[in-house]
Parts: sequence; C-alpha cells; structure tokens
Amino acid sequence: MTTGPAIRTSDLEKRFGRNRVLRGLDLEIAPGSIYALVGANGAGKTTTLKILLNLIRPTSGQSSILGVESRRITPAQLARVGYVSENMKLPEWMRMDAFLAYLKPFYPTWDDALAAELVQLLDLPVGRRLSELSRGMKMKAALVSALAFHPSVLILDEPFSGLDPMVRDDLITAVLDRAGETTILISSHDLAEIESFASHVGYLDEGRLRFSEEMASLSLRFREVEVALDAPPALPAGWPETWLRPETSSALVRFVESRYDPQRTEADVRRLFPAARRVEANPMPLRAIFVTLARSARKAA
Amino acid sequence: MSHLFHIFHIFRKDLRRYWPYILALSCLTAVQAALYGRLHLDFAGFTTGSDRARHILESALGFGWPFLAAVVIYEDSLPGSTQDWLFRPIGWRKLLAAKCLFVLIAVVLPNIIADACSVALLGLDPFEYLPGLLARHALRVAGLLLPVLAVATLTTGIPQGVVAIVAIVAVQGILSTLVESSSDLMGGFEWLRFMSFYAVVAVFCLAIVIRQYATRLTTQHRPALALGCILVFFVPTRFPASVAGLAQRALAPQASSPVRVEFDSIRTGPMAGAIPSPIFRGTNVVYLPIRFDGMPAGLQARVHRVTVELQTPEGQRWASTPTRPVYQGQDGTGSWLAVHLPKEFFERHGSERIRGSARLAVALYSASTPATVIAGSPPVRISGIGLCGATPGARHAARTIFAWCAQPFQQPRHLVMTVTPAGAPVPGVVRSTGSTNLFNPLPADFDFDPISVARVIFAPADSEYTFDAGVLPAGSKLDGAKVTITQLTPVSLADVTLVIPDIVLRDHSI
Repeated sequence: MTTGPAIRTSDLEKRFGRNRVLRGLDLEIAPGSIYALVGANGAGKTTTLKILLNLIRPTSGQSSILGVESRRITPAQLARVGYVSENMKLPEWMRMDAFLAYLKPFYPTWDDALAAELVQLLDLPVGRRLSELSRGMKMKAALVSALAFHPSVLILDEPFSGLDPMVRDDLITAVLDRAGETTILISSHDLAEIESFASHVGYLDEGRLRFSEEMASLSLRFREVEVALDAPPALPAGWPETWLRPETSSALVRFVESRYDPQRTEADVRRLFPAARRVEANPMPLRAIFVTLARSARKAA
Repeated sequence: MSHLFHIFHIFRKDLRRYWPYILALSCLTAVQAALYGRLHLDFAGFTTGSDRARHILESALGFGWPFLAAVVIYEDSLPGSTQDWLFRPIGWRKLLAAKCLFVLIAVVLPNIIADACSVALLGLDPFEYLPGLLARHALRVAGLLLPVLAVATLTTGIPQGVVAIVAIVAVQGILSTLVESSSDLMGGFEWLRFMSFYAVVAVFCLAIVIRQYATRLTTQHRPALALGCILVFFVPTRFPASVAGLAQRALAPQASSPVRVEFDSIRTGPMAGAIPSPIFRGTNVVYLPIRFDGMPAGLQARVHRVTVELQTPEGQRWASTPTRPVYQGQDGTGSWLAVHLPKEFFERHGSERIRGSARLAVALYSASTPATVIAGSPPVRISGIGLCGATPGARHAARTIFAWCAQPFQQPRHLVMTVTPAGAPVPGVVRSTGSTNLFNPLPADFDFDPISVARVIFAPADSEYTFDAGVLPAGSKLDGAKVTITQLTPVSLADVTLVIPDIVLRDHSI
C-alpha cells in the first residue's frame, strides 16, 4: 500500500521533435480522489497519461503511479491499474466474453461477479465480436475490462468523446460505483459531465499545469462579477491580475474573479469603481471557468 | 507456474485466432511433402511435369509460413502506444516467450513433420536422420524466420512489413551488383561463409527482437536494422580466408601421421587427356605430377585448397591465389596438380628451370563399407547415406547409367561410385561426388526440398553422352551393371608442403 499520492509527476517534460508538449509538469493526485485533467486539444493530457503508464518515455522529469516510478512499472503494478482510452486498440476479432476470459488470468483480483454485473449494467452483448460493436459499446467493453479487477487506479483518456448521452450516463454510473476504492484520473473535454462527479480538477495549458485543486474550492474561487454603473465605464488603471476577461457595455462591467473572496473582492470593486450602484458575484459552471482560462491564456500568449 | 500458464494462455489465444490459417498451410505442406516423396521415389531425382505444381506450392508456402510468423507478432504489435496488451499486466518476457512458442509449434513443427514424412515416403527412417532434420530447421529459423520476426517487431502491420522486406531485398540486390564477392577458396570450409552469415543474421535479428520487446524503442531499432542489413551483406562476400585456417585448426583433427606430398619426377609430360579449356583464356596450364606418401592404411586423400609459389632463377616470384586444381589422371597414373600461370609469366620463363613450393590442404577420408546396387533393380536403402539406385536409360538415352543417392536434409556428401558393367572385369570405372562441407557441424540443406540427390552419369565410350560422364568400355552391357557406392567421411585435415624441384614449365604444359 502506498501512503503518498497515488499519482505524481515532477518537472515532467516531453518533446516530440521540436514540439514541446509538456513543460515541467508537477502533479499530485491523492488516493481515492476523482481527478479531472482538463485542457484544450494538444495541451498534453494524453501524453501525460501515456507517460504515467510507461507507454511513452518522458524527455526529462519523473512520474510515478502507486508509488512506483513509471519507467519501472511492472506487471504486478499494472494489475492494479485500469486504463481506458478513446484510441485504444482492442483485439476486435474476440467475442466480448472471450475477451474478458482472456484477461482474467492476468489479474489476481479479477472479480467474475463484478464483471458480470458490469456487463449487465452496461447492457453489453457478450456473444458478439468486439469488431461488431459500436464505438460506445467498445468503450463500455473497455471499461468493464478496466474495472472488473477492482483497480487501485483508473485512468480514463477522453472516455466520453463522441458518445451519445445515454452511453455517457452508463459510463459515468459505472465509474462512480467504483469511486472510493479507486483513484480515478480522467482527461476530458466534456466538462459538464466531469463537473458532476470529479473531486479535483487540474487545468493543463500548453504543457503547463495552470491550476490543480479541489472542485469545491475551484467553484468557490471563480465568480462572474457584474458591476452596474450610472455612466459608460472605462477600465481603470491598476486592474487586478486575478480579474479575467473584462467586458464593458453601456453601464455594466463584467469580469471573472479567479481569487474570489466576498469581502476582499467587494472592497476591490468599490475601490476601483467608487460609483458602482450594484455588485453581483455569480457562481460559474466548470465549462465557463475552463473557457475563461483558455481564452485568457490564449490572449496572454 | 503462473508465468508458464500465462505464456500458454497467450499462445492459446493466438492459436485460436490463427488455427484456420495453420490448418490450410499444414494441408498444403502435406501435399508438398507427398510430392517430394513421390518425386524422388518415382523419378530418381529427375525434374518432371509435376514441377509447376511443386514450384507454386514452394512459392506459396515460402511466403505463407513466414507470413504467419509475422502476423502473430502483429497480433500484439510493438510500435505505437495504443495496443491493448501494453497496459495489461503482461510482461514482455511472457509475450515474447508465447510468440516464440507459437512460431515453434505452429510454424516450425508442421514443417519438421512434413520433412520427416517426405523421408518416410522414401522408405527411410526419419529418426536416423534427426540431427540433419533439426539442423535444417535451425538454419531456416536463423536465415528466414528470425529476419521476418525482426522486421515484424519494428513495423505496425503487414503493409509496412512488406515495404520493409522489399526494401531489404532491394538493398541486398543493389549491394550484390556493386560489391564483388571474394572468391578465395577455403579448403573445404566454404560453408563458413554461409554459416557465419546465418549465425550473424540470427544473432543480430535475435538481439533486435529481444531489445524491441524489452524497450520498444522502435525509432532507434529501425535504423539499427537498416544498418545491419547493409553490414551483414559483407559477411559472406568479404569473409576473410584467414579465418578458414583458424576454423580448420579448431574443427578438424590434424592428421596424426602427416601425409607427405612429393613431386613425382618419374612421370613426365602433361596429364594424359588434358585439353585446353576456353574458361582459362589468358593462362597457361601446367600439370605437375604429384604423389601422396605416408598414407595411413584404409584412408584416402583429397586436396581441398592449393597455393603455389614459383621462383625464377633471377629471383622473380609468382604466387597463385588459393585454388583446388588437383586431378586424378584418367589413365590411372596418379594425381596431377594443375597450375594456371599468367600467359606473360609462362612466355618469359616457360623454358627456364624454375623451382618453388605449394601448400596443400589435404583431408584424409575413411571409406564406409561399400554398398551395391544393381542397375535396373529397385533402389536400395543404405544406412547413413539414404536411398540409392542405378537407373539405366537416363537422359532419355538407353546407353547411360544414372547412379544416384537421395540424401535427406543434407547437401550431397562425398560419395564414390564405381560401375562395373555386367560381365566386365573389375575394377570398374570410378566417379565421385564432391562436398564443400568439410567438418561442417551443421551440414544442413536450406533448400525447400528436404532431399538432395547426388548424381553421377556413366556412359560407354561409344555412346554420344560421354560429356561429364564416367566413361565405360565401349559396348558395355548396362542392364544388371553393378554400382558400388562408398561414402567418404573426413577424419583429419593437414596443411602439407610440396617442394617443387627445378622444373621446366613447358615440359608439363599442354
């Protein structure tokens, strides 16, 4: 048993030729958490997951999973790690039941009852070849094969990408049923779904981790602030760095406060806009936070 | 225990996937085995009308079996990062072991069984030839399957693999047109060129396969394979003849009572029956009479390499490259050493008294107990050799005898065949089949056909088919002629020096 983080990366770098995909990534994921790694296309999410599983090698830096350095990961550790990816190549010539029967001997903790339960929950046709299954069905099959052995860590790489809402719900239900016994790392664009079950979130931007924190604190930290004025506003000098994406209209100023504190934010607004008639701070969905951060980063670049 | 179980588990998975393919190939291989068996039994090694079917089968199977070995690697391919096995608790050692098991059981074993059946169809016991059978398949693994496996571990699938193999063949083809092969004779050790080639290819490909499974550093291993393909070409083509000397000392027992070779000054003039050959245009051939002394009882000598050095009275030297020009005189008068001298050297010094020396690699052979077959009678099984027969009327000519021995799994061995026509006095006419497999620990044959045939033609002097034949007395009765077959087995090898006394080259030239 590991007492430290279930997953850790330290100063992780990865280059593909001249393309620097990861730039000193430091990441820690506590055991039992459901960690959502979000970021735009090409941010380095999939690369990070593949390095963790020793599927590709980092250019420099270190990563570990279940306390074992990824480069030294052995079959014994892999028997405790489940992995599902939108790009994974399953042995498509196999029937669903033969696929599970083939995998079973490799996992000492394989649970036939759980596998059968998951197959039923996800409504998988066990007698059909994997090649005959739809994309969503294949993802379900992969998820069953990744959950049936009670993994200590479950890594999901864009598992919901391109799937219909029913399949997404099925997958989420299956994953959530395992929450608690399993540390889950999920990379996804599907922020709405992630918001509903992730306990932690990290935002990866051009290979750098912009933030990594509990979902609850993130929700508390970000607010969309609306300031009502009497006259058309001008953005004052001394605009705080934590106020992102400022917008002005006839008598309104809107921005996203990324370090929201009721008293301090209110005081700062009053200081910069002494004529403010009304100040409102509204909670933001994860999707809006992600878009704000992505656009701010793009603008800064 | 669980390791073995996992290996067998992966093997079973691949077997379940490819059993129809294995079955189809095995059926075709069985047909091929039957064809080979029938071919040698019915036609005594002559090519026949069934050749087309045989060649089609050879092409199909020559491609099919390596293809099967490759696709089983692609089943759990190595380049890339999306294959299912990569994130399963399947160690590379188990996977590699399972793939090797598959290749041995599903690819090599059916071919071993088919070869054994071919031999059994000739009425021979395959177990008697087991070492040769295993050696033959060891060579096929080294020279064919391991390179295919190496390519398969570095490519993502059949299209990429085919492109890689076509590129490798093209590179070898280009190199063979650009690089002239060394023609140095190695005194019966010519097999070293090819065996060392197979050995280098096997070790290199095995290293690539293991490294690729262990590290999956495809981008590093692909250039290594490309470079290896170029370098390995130079192993047989630039094989240093000096290494043959080392191999001789290592592999061949040195003669306990060294044979002496002496210039036979009693015989004079050129070898009787020698005729100028257009092949040696630009040279003059001088035949030096030589005599073997100190021969241990019951042994025969064969010369496998000669290097001659001559010196004129003015001190000018000429040295030959290693050759193998020792002939038995057709008149039964003894042995002759043929020296091919450059025309210019011969014209300038042919009338001078010249001395010199020669180094001869002399192998001593023990002869097996002679076995006899009668021309026109059914073939005879001869232990240690194979199936032998004598067929009158070969080459569609009634006035010939075709003496042959079908030998399983090996290149033809050194056989001496003596034909005595019915009613003729003994001794008969002697012809022998050669072998460049001196002291080869794995004298296996790489050919598709598991049975190689040593053939000798005999023809009466009044026949029109005397070219390259053992010439029998005119009017010889061929039906019922007795053919005595003896196998020569090398027992020792020695480098012997021949002192060439003062001679006039023109006295010995034709």
